[in-house]
Amino acid sequence: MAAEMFEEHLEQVLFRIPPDDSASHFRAALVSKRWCRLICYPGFCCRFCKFHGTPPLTAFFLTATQASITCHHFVATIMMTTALQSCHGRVTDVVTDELRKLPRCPLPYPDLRIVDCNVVVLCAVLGEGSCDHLDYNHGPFIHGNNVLIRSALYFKCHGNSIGGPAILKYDLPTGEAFAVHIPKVGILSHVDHRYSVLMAMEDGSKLRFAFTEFQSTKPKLYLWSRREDCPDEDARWAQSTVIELVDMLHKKELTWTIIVVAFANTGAGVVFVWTCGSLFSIDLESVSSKMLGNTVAYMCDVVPYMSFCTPGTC
Amino acid sequence: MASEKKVVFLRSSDGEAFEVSEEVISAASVTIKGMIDEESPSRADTAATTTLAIPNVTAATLSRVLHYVNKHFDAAAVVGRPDDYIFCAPGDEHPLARFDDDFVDVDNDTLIDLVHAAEYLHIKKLFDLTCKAVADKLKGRTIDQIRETFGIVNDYTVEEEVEVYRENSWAF
Repeated sequence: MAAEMFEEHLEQVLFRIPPDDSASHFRAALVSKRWCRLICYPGFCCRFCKFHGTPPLTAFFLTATQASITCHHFVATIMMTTALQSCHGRVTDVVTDELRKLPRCPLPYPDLRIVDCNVVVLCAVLGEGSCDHLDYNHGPFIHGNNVLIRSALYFKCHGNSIGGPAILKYDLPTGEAFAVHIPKVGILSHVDHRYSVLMAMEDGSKLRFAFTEFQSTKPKLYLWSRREDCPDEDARWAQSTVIELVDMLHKKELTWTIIVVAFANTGAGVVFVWTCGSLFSIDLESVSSKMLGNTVAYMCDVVPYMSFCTPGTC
Repeated sequence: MASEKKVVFLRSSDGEAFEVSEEVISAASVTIKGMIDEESPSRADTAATTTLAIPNVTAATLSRVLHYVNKHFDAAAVVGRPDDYIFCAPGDEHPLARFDDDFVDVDNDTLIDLVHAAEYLHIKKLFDLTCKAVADKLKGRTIDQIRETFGIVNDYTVEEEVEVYRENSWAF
């Protein structure tokens, strides 16, 4: 006869099931009514969220355009298809409830063009420490092409007067906008908005920039991070990681263009890239890749959806 | 001798006494540190060693706990940085990872006893390790296997069970 666990110990054990392994939680809920009560109690999900901090990437919205036909997909990335479909109404609610129209951005240069920026989802509670973004109704939602760091929004942009691609920083409290130069490296003559993505640091403290080489037989993914407190503008960017994509995507060679599609701020971050007619995710924490599906359309837009999902919360 | 290390004796629920360095056990267990601090005034400058009763932990479990404590907190206590393994080069696997894996590779009863003991003695690292080990035992198992592993009686009625299986068929 095995020893029966105390309720508080059992809860601690259940916390340690990885957040992307929802199936184990659902199975555990069916072991007995006592286990079920424990897992389905709303407080459990709250404490589970606090225990793990950043939620896992559970799904993404994919918009792919090819031959003028645009398709929208909602794709689950972990084994929880049914659970997420039943969550789908809530996902839609998140979008409609939280969508805010931004005031017209005061551009520092008249010819500046913001790239692929049509929506930004902001949590209504702004300010340090006031919202952990973990609550379901304020589900963490980050669009791949713009990033919120502290109280400033960053967009990718283009403009002749600033010499090609740059980053636009929009300060929310003051409503001022500034152009931020992208990292200076030799290869950057090739940096195009289609091959780069803005990202936030795991704790939302720093801006990161990821881009791929596209005219290379051995393309790499470069990651840079930016320190705002450094007085020397040129020294603010620092290269943090370089990833060989041929090895990472388990290919013999990569003859196709590689497009960085989006970024999800979960764990150390997940970068979405498109190449060879398929969409891949690269997890920067485990440094591993996953093939997510095939889409011939390279003009695809991915919005990652990250959430905790435990029984009783869907 | 002032330089000699102080030791304390811990008496298990079944009456067995174990010797352990006061410094090491104080660094590891919040509960025992509290007990030692409480005892201190009465034993100042006396040669007598303290024996602390640990009524919730059996000898078998206590000896395992002390094995863990000596491994994890002894070397660290010397340099005064309990969570920093100075001998470990960056990128190396945690030097005690192998020890930890072997330590929790035990039967369920032993493991659950260790969870209880770690919580009672307030040894956070051991509590994390053992809870994680129990969670790993849930992974990839069927519901029946989980019930068998943890000795749980199924209290769902057949109708209730059919209903929840139907609703959550994707999870099995």
